Amino acid sequence: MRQRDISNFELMILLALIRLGENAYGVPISLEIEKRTRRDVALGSVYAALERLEKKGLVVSSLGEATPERGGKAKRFFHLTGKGLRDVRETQRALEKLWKGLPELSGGKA
Amino acid sequence: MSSVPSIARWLLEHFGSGPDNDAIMGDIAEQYAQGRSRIWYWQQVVTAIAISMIRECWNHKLLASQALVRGWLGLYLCSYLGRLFGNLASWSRWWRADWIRVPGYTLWWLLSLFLIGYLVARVNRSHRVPFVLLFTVSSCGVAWSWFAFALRYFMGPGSPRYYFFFILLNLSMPAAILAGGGLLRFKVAEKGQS
Repeated sequence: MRQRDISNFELMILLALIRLGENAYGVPISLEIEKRTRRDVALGSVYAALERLEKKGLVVSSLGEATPERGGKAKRFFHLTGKGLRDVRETQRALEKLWKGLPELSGGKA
Repeated sequence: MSSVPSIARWLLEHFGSGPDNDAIMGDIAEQYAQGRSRIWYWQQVVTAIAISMIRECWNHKLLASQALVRGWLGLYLCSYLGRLFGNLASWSRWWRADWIRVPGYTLWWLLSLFLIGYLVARVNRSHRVPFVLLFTVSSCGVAWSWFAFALRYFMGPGSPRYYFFFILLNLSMPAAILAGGGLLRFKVAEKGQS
C-alpha cells in the first residue's frame, strides 16, 4: 500500500505544493504549513521531508535564481509528479473512508 | 535590511551538510530579511545543522559507522600511548613536576584529537562534515558526562593549575577535532551576501 509511505508531515508538504503551484520553494511551503496548521515549522525539517519525497519519486526539484536578499543563494523549486498527485488522491480517499461513520469527536471522547 | 547573525550564518555554512544547504541558507536569510527575529534565525540554524547531520549519517550508515569506529579506536590508541609515554617519562623529575606534566598531557591530547579529526574526515571526503560532527558530538558527549561525574564525585581540592588545564582540554576538545576534520576553515565571503 503506497499511502503507508507518506507521513503526516509529508502529506502536508504535498498539499502545500498543490496549493502553491509554480512558486513552491522552502519559504512559501513552510509559511503555507504554518498558516494552515498554526505551528512553527523548521526549514531543515521541510527540506528533509522534501528529500524523502523526491527519493520516492513524488516530487521533483529544480534550481531557481539567486537574489541579494537571499545572501546570493539560489532557490530550489519543488513540483509534484504524476505519481505524487495519484498518491495524494489515494491517501485522501483512504482517509475519507476511515472518517466515514465515525461518531463526532468532541470533549476528548470518540 | 539588518544583516543576518554572522556567527549563526558561519556555523550553517561550515557545519550544514547535504545538497540543500545553500537553499536552506537562502530561505532562512530571506525570511530573516522579512522581519523574523534573531532567536528565530538561531533556532533555524541549529535545527538545520542537526537535521542535516542526522539525515546524512542515516543515508550513509555504513560509512558513518566506519567513521565512528575509526575515531573511537583513535581515541583509545592515543589514550594508551599517552599512558605509556607517561610511565616511561616518570623517571624524569621534570615530568613529575605538575607544571610540565599537566600542560604536556593537555597538548598531547589536543594534538591527538586534531589527528583523530583528520582521520575521521578521511573516511569519505564528500561526507566529512556530518561524519566529523557526529564523532565530535559522540566523543564530547562522553567526555563531558565523565567530566561532570568526576567533578561531582572524585575531585577533591586539587591544584588550580590542574583544574585549569582539565577545563581547557574539555572546552577545546571539539575545536581540535573540528579543526583536524577541516571544518573550521574560513571562506572568503561571496559578493552580495548580507
